[in-house]
Amino acid sequence: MKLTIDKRQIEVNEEMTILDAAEKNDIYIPHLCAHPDLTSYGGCRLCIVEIEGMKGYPTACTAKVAEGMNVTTKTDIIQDMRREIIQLILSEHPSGCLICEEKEQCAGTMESIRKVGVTTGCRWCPKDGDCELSRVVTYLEIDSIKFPVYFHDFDVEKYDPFFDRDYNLCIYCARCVRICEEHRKSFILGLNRRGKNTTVGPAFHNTHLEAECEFCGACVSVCPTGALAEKNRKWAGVPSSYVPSICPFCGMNCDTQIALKKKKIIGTFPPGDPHQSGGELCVKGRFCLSETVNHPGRLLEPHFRFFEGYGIVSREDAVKKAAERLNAVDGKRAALYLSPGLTMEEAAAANLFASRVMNTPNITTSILDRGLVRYLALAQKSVSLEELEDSGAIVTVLLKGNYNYGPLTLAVKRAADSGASFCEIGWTRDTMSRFTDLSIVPPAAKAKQFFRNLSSAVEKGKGGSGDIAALVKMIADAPSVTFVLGPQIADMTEAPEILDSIDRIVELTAGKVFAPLPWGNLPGLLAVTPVKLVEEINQLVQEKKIDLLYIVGDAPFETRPPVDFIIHQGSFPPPSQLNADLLLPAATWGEIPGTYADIHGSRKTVEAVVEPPGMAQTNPDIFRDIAGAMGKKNLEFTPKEISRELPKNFSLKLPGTDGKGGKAKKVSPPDSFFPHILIQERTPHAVHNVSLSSVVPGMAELVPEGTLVMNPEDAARMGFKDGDPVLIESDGTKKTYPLKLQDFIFPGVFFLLTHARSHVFGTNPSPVHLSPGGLERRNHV
Amino acid sequence: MKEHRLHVLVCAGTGCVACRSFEIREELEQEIIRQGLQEEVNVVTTGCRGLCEKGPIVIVQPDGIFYRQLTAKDIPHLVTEHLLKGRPVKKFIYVPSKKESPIPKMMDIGFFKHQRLVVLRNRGRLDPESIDEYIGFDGYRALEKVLTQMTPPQVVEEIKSSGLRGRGGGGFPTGIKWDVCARAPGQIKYLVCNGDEGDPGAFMDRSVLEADPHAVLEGMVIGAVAMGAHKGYIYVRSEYPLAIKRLEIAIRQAEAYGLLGENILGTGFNFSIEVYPGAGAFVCGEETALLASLEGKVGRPRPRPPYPAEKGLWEKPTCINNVETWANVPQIILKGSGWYSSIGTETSKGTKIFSLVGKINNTGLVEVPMGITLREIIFDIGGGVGKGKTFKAVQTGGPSGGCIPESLLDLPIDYDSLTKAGSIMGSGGMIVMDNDTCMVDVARYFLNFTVEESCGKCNPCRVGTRHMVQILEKICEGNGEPGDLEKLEFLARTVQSTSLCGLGKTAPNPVLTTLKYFRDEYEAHIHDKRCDALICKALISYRVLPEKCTGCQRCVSVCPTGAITGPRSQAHNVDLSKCIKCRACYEICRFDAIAGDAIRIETTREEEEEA
Amino acid sequence: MAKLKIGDLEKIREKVRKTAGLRQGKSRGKVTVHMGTCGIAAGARGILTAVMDQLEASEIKDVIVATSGCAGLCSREPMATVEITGNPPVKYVDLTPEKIRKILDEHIVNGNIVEKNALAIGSERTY
Repeated sequence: MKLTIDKRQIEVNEEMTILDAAEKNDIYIPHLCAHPDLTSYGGCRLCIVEIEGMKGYPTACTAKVAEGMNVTTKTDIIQDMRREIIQLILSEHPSGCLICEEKEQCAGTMESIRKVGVTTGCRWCPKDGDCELSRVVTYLEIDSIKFPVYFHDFDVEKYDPFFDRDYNLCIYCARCVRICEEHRKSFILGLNRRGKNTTVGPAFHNTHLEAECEFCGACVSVCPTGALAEKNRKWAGVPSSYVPSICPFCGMNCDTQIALKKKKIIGTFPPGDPHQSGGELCVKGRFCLSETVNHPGRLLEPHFRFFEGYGIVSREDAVKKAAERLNAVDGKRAALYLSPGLTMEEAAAANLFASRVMNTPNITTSILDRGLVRYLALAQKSVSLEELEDSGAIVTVLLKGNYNYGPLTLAVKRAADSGASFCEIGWTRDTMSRFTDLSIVPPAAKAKQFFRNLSSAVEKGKGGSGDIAALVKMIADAPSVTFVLGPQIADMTEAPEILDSIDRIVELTAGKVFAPLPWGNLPGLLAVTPVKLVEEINQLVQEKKIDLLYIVGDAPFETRPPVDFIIHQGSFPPPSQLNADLLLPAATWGEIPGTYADIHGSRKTVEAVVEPPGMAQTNPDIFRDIAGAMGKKNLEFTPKEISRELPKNFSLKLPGTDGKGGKAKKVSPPDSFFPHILIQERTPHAVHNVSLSSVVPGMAELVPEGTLVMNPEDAARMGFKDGDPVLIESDGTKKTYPLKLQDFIFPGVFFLLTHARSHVFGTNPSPVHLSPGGLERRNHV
Repeated sequence: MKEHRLHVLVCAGTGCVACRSFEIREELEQEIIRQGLQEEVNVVTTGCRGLCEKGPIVIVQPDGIFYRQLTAKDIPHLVTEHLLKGRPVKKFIYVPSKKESPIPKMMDIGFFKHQRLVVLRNRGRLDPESIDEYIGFDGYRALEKVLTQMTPPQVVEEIKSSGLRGRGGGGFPTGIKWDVCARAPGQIKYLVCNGDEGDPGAFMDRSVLEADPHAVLEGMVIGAVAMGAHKGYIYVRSEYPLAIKRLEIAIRQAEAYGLLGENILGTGFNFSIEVYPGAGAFVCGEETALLASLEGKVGRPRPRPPYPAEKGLWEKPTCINNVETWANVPQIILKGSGWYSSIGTETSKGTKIFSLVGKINNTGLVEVPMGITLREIIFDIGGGVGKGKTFKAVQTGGPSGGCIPESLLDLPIDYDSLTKAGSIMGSGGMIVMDNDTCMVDVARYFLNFTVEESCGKCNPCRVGTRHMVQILEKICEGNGEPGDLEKLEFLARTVQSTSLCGLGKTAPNPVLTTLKYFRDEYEAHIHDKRCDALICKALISYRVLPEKCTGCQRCVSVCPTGAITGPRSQAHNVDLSKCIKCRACYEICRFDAIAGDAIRIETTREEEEEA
Repeated sequence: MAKLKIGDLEKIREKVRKTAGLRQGKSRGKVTVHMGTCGIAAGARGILTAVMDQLEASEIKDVIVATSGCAGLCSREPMATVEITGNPPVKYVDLTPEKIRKILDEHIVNGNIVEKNALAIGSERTY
């Protein structure tokens, strides 16, 4: 349709607002609350225009184009009213620098007053130089504010991880509210109270933590002022460039873009315009990457464990030592543990090293146990997210949706919002939970029976308890169903049996599957190297059949195993209890180019954007140096050599599980001695060999490691308070952990959040006894 | 025009109407036409003469003959005998007793004489908790007519041609709204009754809901048939618990009788109504905010279009009308759009209920035909302002309305002429002010209300009204500066032009009208630091007139700060530094002291001028 | 109450007009206390109680006591209307429990309108 804007003939092909039509034709209409992906709000009133035939001054962001419309966007009276409105906004927003005559001279020299902590002018503001409000002020040529200033004098809200909220700077555009509601469908934010007492934020002035926010960062991205500011980027200023990349924290490998400044990674954003895009990232991809790679605890120099403790050694000495030890050991008496986050090229280099230098068949990764192998078999049936969104019914199974798998949880929310029936089988509540039609809390002690019962109920078309019958009906009533699995299942002792039942259910219902993988590049690793079951290699280690361990970015043991020498190669030092002998600093994501693959083999590549810090080198370079020192001069570990190792046809080399790794354990039921059921949740949020919770303080608040977690109702009943030490006893183990209360865990469920690879209390879950504990020297994680 | 030779006066008092005097009138008019007498005989309705027990009363003038207890079948004989042949019919004659009661008749009392009750027709004589009584007074007859004799498009057409306009304040033609909603596609439609009367001083809707809830219910069922809706909501502010209670009783009774709910009157039509209490926000009177509140969301307005009649409650076509609008519907259907459109002016038909409050002698609820002048309402009906006071202004339309001065009192009350004067009809609040009112203070008062009630979504209303209040307070505190009025005016116009919803758009009206008609008061406050109405505390001071004071010490005993002192039998004195201007001394001197007028309140600069 | 069909309304109408109209009913009169929120705030509940008490004390059983909503002239509340069969209704204003007792005595028992408390006689004008 054709219309006229400012005497120009404009043509548009679809329904849109006048603001959009103007923008597409390079006509600028000032606005602050409009956002291309969100519904029209009409709150700031800056985009007022004159439309012939309509009385008053409609807003361009709410008025839709019509054939033959005649729009004028700029007249003297409109500009005067816009100036009036912007002055109203500025009377509530600290504007010390906005209208100062010396702001040009000042901007260049006063870059670092931001550490003062209270924003009273632009130079103090985290958004300085990047602020949309200041752009509108400049366009409207404001040089004075005729109204008195009402400074709200709110305290800066600092009690949430990852971002601060300074509502003194808020201009009530409500973009944060709308992006959370319409785009991410989490409904955390709203406008509280009314009139001059209006504030934006979670209801009842809760913190984001109390409101059960998932910290996806969409609100922070779209805020036009410095009201919402990332803690970690507060003093970094405006990024100098944005570079596309992907996130290495889990198998979704979401597209991101890296914000760079002065050759440093200062943050990560979803793709698109960083000020508009709400994105689909989770808290890890959005907030944790820059903190991780820039962490002061990174391993920067090679270390050797002398008698009196660790000492820094030169690269040459380190390499010489490694070569010496590797040459002295038989390949069959060495083992290589690889991180599931290595790029395919790093994994290929490791494979090359294992086969041609170490001559060892003992390659494994600490996470690949029987349960995970069974999970991977199901994961290979995963459909795409588009197919998931088209399902008539969705059932999530032990998918802990907080803080994980952004695109997946968003796809589930979108599907449920547009009518798919939705059942959550799980032990926790997350931002998907408001959409559930059915919520089932499976009995932890009898998980295996529960899924078996479900499977037979599905088979028969009826039967089972109320919940199971309701679920069977829900699935039967829908035209199609997708089962979304949580990797938590793989961590359970009876995982293979549970997964067998689930597989059967999928088959019986002709259902689809989506099984996410919480490690950065597990399929990539499995496609490139022949990995053995970790139980198998661990058994060799325990039986003292291994003399040397070479650990590349992995964390297989909490205490030192019975071997002669341990080489640890990674971006962070390993836990001190490991007592590794030689520490080699390695480069990590962002410092090495590489390829990541998903379960079906589609690949994504990333570039290196910064130099590795200190003495750190890329993994292939380290292998090259050691191989050279060992006399294998013909191996260069060049990119070309490595790419020859990459398979042409993608297939996962899964190890067989029969007869390997010892007898399968059974989960005992609770009894009078051990009446509670403890579920161990191994925090999968790992960056190579350390958990995110130990590296990123914000993550430690969300996923507090080394703690017992329960619902406040249970704690009150049992006489515990938040932070109390609790003694957990099982048949054979006794340990004390601090207690953390979390509202989003259902009553009756007890979690042990730990980074340990083994099952601390024997099985997972395990029957335990909880009682008040005392202070005790803790040497477990 | 030739004068009629005979006037036939049919009593239309509530008593006679209950006895079908309207039927009598219709029958008379038709019979007169049949007998060709319409040029000679004029039929009018009059008010009650107090002869209610003998009604229906018909008086033939100038003969002065009173006929009593007539029925429709008596009329042809009466017309032939008396009107045509000039022979009064003895058996119908009534001779009122000679002993005239000294008590004034209702129709002689100004307050009642000028009112015409349409919506409030059952006022004072109906037990609102008795559905039988409502039926007895012709209740649900209109519904029966709609269900048996009319099609839905005919109903919509009737409302359209009646000229009924929204009584909530917007004045939008109701028939057009019904038409849009009726034509909107889809099976699910909703009707909503807006009972969130938030204007300070307005209680028309409360009265209707408390006194005659069935009128609203009947109107809504008729609307449901016309537009094809099956569910209705009555949103009543929770500050009206009696209204909510009576509505719920009325709904239960109507449902029990099959007048509401499933299979209404056996016709198979279903319509149910639910009462939904509000939660204390003035902004929820705005229709889109009300709908959001009904949906369980925060009551904040949204931009329009789309209008609720196309996309309202849960995105379905919704017809939302005010209580008074719905209550007009049964009468329009029963008596016809011709009758309704004969009342009122060219553009504003029917009657309007006003709550007449403030500095007026007869405070109360008045229902008058549109077109009556403000002067008539205030002086004839309201009885004028208090003794010794003069009328100053009348605020119509609540905090969204404007102040109209004495010079415009001959304005007829209708939507358009009030808007031209800078005010609005609003929902019907009419606050009368006398010369003891400071107009700057009035503007400040209303704007303070709006600032509190603003929803906070858009900048002009949230921040702009706050700055307007700040300027007004500055002026009232004696700190006004030159340039303040221009600043205030431009800000007011910006808020008016750019706000998102009606609350913000009309919030500056009190300021703009007082600036237009009472600018001199503002200027006196700013330039001379004077408040001639003696209201703004910072601009007034208290003084004892020594020549009048007898030293009776009444004022000394009531002064809360000990500012006024003085020994017995000697003239007292006010210490201005302690005086908090609470008026206690002034009032007690006037009413309970020996002198009676020894204390004077002056506005500050007078002394300086005198000096 | 059974659900009504078309035509049933007319029957109720007839029945009500007979009893409420005071023409053919057996009652001698009717006292209506006006009880909208304004009236109640001014004390109408007390008036109603006083009316019922007074009628009982005087052993008058053939006078109907009724309530209605707001009668319009809020500045003169509490108000009550007294109607004796065969006579126009009388509106009394500015009432207190004592005044209404005296009024009932004078007007209903003795048949004399109490002038000093009466505002007007007759009914309002509808269209």
